[in-house]
Amino acid sequence: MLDQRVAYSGGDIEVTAGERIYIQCTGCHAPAYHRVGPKHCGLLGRHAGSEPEFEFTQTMKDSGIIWTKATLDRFLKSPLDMMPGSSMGFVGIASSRERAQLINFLGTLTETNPLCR
Amino acid sequence: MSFNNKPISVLERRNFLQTASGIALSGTAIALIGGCATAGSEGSNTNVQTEQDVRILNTAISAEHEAVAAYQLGAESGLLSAGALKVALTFQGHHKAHIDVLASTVRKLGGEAVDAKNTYNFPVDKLIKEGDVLTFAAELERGAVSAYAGAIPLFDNSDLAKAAASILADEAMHWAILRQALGLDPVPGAFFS
Repeated sequence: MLDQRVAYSGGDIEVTAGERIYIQCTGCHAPAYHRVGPKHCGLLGRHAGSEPEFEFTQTMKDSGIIWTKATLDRFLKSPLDMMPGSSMGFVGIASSRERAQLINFLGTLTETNPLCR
Repeated sequence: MSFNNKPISVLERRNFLQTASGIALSGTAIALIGGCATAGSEGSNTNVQTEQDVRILNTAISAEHEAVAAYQLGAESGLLSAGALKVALTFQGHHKAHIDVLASTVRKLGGEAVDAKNTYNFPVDKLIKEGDVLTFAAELERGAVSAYAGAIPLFDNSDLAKAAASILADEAMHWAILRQALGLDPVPGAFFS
């Protein structure tokens, strides 16, 4: 499955690296459907806590955040520092380069991506 | 059983699965987890920190419920051989045991443990043969290891971190055994990332 994802990235080394980092997210998230955490397809540009059919914490719903590369970078650095009260039990990604790679991958998760179908 | 990269035969995989099904959480691990269940009630945490620990534990419980449901799906799929089915049910039992201790800990911390969902989103249409089920389970177990690895540093209570590490180790063993059964290197690297 991972090999297919890497192949889909079309050789973009940053996205490929981001896909590999994304494996860290797969304990709770999937691109196309809600699991313990919400799905990630269409994440960029979405209002935090707005995805239908997922039960977000009130903290997330009230955050007023729109997920952009900048807000995702802050959140992924240390989710609970940015948003105490979130149920995202993840310490964060310290490396700014790795965060950027992951965010680049998340940005590919649009309706045209096979992972989102 | 093989600990190198050589392909293993179906029979070897079957034997390996039958052997692996004997693995269970050790009494030491259960005692460790059970022992930490009272840790949060001793007043060392602030309310805010305890609330955070409860949220993290509940996220872990949600993932464990998902794993139990996934193994149930695999068990009822009709795709698993007797040996694989036995392993699947053993691993499912481990996840149920994780839920029990995590939920007990949440309650002792003054929280309310989350229940299982009524339905889960699983890629049922992609589960066509035994290998698909084992791959699906291996991916879930790998994800679980990642989730615990990412959560452990957040615990304010070191006993909770220790207990979560015990569960992480169990799920890493599941992952390795499933990889071995699939003919993959069970331990693909010196570090997990």
